[in-house]
Amino acid sequence: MITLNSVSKRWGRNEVLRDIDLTIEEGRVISMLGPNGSGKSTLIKCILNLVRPNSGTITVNGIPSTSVESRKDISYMPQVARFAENISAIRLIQLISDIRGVDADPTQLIEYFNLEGHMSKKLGVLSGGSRQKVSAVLAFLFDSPIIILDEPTVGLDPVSRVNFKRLVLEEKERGKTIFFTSHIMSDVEEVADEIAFLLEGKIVYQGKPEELIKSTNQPNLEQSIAHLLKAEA
Amino acid sequence: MKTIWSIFKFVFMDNLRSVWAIAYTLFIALSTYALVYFTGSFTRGVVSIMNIIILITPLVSTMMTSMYFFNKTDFLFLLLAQPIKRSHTFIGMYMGIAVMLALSVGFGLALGMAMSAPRIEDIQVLLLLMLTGVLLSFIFSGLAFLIAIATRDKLRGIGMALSLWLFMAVIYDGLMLMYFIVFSEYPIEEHAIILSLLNPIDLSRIFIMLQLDVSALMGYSGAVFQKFFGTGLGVGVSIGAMLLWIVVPQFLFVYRARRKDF
Repeated sequence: MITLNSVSKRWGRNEVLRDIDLTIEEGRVISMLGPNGSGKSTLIKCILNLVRPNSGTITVNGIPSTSVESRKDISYMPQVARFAENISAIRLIQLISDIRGVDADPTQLIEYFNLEGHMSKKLGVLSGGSRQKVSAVLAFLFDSPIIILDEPTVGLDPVSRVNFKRLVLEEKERGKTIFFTSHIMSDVEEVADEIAFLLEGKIVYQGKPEELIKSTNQPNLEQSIAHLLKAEA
Repeated sequence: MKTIWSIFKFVFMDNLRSVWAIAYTLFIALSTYALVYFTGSFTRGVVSIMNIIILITPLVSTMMTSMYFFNKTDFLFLLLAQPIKRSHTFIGMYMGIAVMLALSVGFGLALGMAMSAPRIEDIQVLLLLMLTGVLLSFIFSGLAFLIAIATRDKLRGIGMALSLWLFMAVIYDGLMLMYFIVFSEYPIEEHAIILSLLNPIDLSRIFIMLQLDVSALMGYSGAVFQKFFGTGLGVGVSIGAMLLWIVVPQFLFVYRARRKDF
């Protein structure tokens, strides 16, 4: 479980996160939505302790996010997967395994994402989609109870996207907590139990997607979000 | 330590396989070979080779470190999101880049010399230049790391790193010369020593000149250094100061990295 209590973050005069209270329950899939610049990435970075909030506290399974221990429970898939140019994908996986001290076997995930022919190639020669899949392998490899995904399906082909979403649902069945950002509303509707809508650093809606659709009286989530944006403007 | 070692190996291999590392090694090798060829012997060409080492090594180290840091932010985020201390991540990355740069200089010099049929007495001079190149690689890679961590913007970071090199390699000497001329009536020997200690490029020049004992090329600060410390102690002080130039920026960038928002 991830808990954010009154988290605020400023970049100079720009207040990126404003008094955020958010609880990400264990075993749930929560999607963080919001327009570009609304503070989604900063919020993820705060959870991972890449960014330190100006005020408020964050705990991961009861451990403060400032502690190295808190990140033992988290696997993270960043938005862009340009990691290293001249090293093979398998070496990158080996590096993260060494750092985490977990000897996990990636074979199954490599096969799942059809990466068998790419693992010994340099990361620099892989396509954006293949690098994204390597990043996905890293996110699901270590059996972490919490998985944070920053726009994970961008750049994936339709088949890989379907496979990716299936994997997210399988992990959810296994009790994992999954927190992800996305601009692709169909993905969100398919996998998220709950959405949190962030606008100018504040959470303006948190709840089930179908409830938002119902309350805004719109045919789908995309139009509900557009409606919400208009109402807040 | 295991995590530092893992990150070091990865970053080292990533850099070693880059086109830039190969181009840099070949440039040092071919320059060394060409200078030995034109001057007739390694020992006679040493001053020209030294000038290449003390100017080019800091420039390449600064630029390659800055570029690697700013072009690998996704990789950095991935590492920082792992359950390891920030200091381990940054020391591992720094060592990976700096060791590759140091090896490129060392190997380039050795290759250049090997191509030009060396004599036994050239080995000592070669080792001296190699040591200087290695120390300068570590110093300027560390300074570039410090600048990169202290800034958010890629262009500003690279610009600042380049300015630092320009200041230490060119402007600093000019300012020192002006200072010596303006205050030539006063006893400024101690000032000359302090000013030399504050610039690793000057220090490396003095370090080489003291060992080669080429008094005509030593310059004012080098001569003062020799007079003040004597050759033996002068070499010790210059190398000690260069080691401090490696250690202090490392402490500073680790300290800054612990508090930085990424």
